[in-house]
Amino acid sequence: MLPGHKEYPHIFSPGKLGKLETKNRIKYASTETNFNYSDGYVADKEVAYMEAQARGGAGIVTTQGAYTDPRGEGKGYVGMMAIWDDKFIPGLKRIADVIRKYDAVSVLQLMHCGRVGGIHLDYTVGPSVVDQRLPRFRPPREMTAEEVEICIAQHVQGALRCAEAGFDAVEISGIVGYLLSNFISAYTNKRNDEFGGDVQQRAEFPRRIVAGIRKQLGPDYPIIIRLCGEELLLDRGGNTPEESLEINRIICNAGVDMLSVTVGWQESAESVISRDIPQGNWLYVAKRFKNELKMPVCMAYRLFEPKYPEAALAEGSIDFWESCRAMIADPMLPNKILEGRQEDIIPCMACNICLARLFRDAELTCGVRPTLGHESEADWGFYGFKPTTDKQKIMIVGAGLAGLQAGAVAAEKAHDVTIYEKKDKIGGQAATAANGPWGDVEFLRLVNHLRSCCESNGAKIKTNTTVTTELIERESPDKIILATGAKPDREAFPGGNGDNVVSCLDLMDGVVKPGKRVVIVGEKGVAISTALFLVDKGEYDVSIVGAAKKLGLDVNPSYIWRYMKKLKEGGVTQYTRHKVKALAPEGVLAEDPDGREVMIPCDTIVLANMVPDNDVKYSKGELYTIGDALVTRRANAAIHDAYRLAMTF
Amino acid sequence: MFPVINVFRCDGCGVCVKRCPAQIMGLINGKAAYLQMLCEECGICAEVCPTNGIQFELPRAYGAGEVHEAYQSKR
Repeated sequence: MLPGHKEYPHIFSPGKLGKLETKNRIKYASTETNFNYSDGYVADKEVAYMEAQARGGAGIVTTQGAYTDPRGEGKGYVGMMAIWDDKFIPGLKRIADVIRKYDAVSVLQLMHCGRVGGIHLDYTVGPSVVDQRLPRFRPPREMTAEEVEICIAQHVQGALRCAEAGFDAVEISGIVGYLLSNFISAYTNKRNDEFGGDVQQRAEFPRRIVAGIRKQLGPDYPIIIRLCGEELLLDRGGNTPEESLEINRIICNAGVDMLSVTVGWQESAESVISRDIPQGNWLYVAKRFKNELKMPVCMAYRLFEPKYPEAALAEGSIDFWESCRAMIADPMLPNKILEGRQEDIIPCMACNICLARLFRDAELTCGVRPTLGHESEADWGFYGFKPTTDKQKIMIVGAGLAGLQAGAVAAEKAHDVTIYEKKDKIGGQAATAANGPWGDVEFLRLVNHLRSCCESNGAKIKTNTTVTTELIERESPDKIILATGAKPDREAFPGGNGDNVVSCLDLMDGVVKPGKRVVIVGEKGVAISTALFLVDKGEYDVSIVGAAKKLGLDVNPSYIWRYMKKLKEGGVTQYTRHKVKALAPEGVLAEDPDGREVMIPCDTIVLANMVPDNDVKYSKGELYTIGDALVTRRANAAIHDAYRLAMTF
Repeated sequence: MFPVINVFRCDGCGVCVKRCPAQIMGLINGKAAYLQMLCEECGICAEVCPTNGIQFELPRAYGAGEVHEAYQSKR
């Protein structure tokens, strides 16, 4: 019996999908990657990624969605796999084979992207013409009843190919703005024929797909469907939760073996999966469906740490713990929990860079796991690094994210690594940022994970130790990695050392307390985070001043709209396109967009205009600079710089 | 996937330099260039380039119109 069996008995109990047995209750959720060829064929990179997910120990492994029509109306991502012709079967079979090899139940997902499809076309298709709100998506055309019938048949053909390729089960995607959800939702379905109108009619198209697949594949082939439990589109005429319940019930009655419950559309104006949503937040929706439909149910969406799904499984709210982003970050998550080594799990920070990349036609990237997309390349060390044959003494200056990540990799390669940190605690700017509100405390999970990696690989961490000339001479390292991060630029304007001028880092670390009126100088994400920290306290009058046209051009679009909303709600004034001229005791002197001088009065000026903190007076051996100490960027850059450097050592 | 700057097309407007979220783009001899080791493969430069001068496209597999002959379905 392994530790996971004892600590999480429900997660690691065998499960059932239809008549099939699964080795545990973990389902790796369907994830678009853009790894495949742009004409729909499966690429080696995708197979290697799916192999990693299968080797990680999940009981069920789901492929990304495959599009079902030859024109590509259903294709929403440039590197999405296709299933509209038999010629794609050999490639799909490679994925089925590799999943089976690692003793997991294999599921292929069929996905017609509907409203968000037509990525290579200049239109998209759907039940009705309802104008797009997000600029990326193509203008919709209304499908004729005949086209709907053809689409149903294409889904059924896709399911037949799925079975022929050797998958154990088929999954249909009906979520977030894809075609099935467009028919289901009153927001996008305004039809008057058999496929639109009341809940019965809006359920008809998906119901016919399920019924058609059931008829062709027989009673035993498991069918999973992902449907929206709550659309969060009430502001634009979307379904009520009651309507979603009824429609999903009708669809599942047509022959579904398991329902994967999701929440929200890409278009929803509410946060669904970002860090400000607490883990387990949406379980009540899964529970509703479990109680009402009395069928197997699973859910992903902010279930990162096992204690939440374990409790939900124990309570009977879900039958499987589905996981997407947490397993993009670490495919080995199931095995690591089973073996009692959760500190070895690379923790998803819900930065959503992964999803952001997909929407820019780029390949999936992970902020915390640089090996994503390189699982089969030995030099990236996803399955472990071989010890080096040329052991070096490596001195790392700074125990922030970059320093810790570089130390972890270099130590795993069996180099002699010591990380020096001048402060009394590790984590650098990430630890400081973890003082922020709305889930930012989770940054500490990443810091703790990296510390654990360092320790288990023998890297030494010395806090309260500044690296001096004397220390370098004494230690005589072969390589020095400068990972000293960034600091606010006090030299940028006259008055930078005034008594009323403080560093955003000191502010968020609680070292200084500002007066009531605060002006933050800066224009990047750091300035926004500092503002949100103060907004959360509720007792400050906050402004931000910066020269850029827009704040936060370095922030992931998936977060920036959310931040802007919170800044507005918090009454934060944004002085964009204002060039700061001087920092005075009364406030900030700036030049407005028309060239006029304005004084922005305040009690405290907080500097969030970060520059690299890389003043090197003495060095020995090879010197490398990474992270913010090189160029100020975001956390993913610190991790990626460090990993990409240390893997070459 | 890394962007490829078509140096022949680039007119040095500098929009990509301004919009790169990692701020790792610049102009060399008036043409866009970037620090590849720091590139986050986000695609924003390609998206904002007004001359369509940055290539950021996934490769095709077997070429347009070719049929994968080896597979014959039993259905």
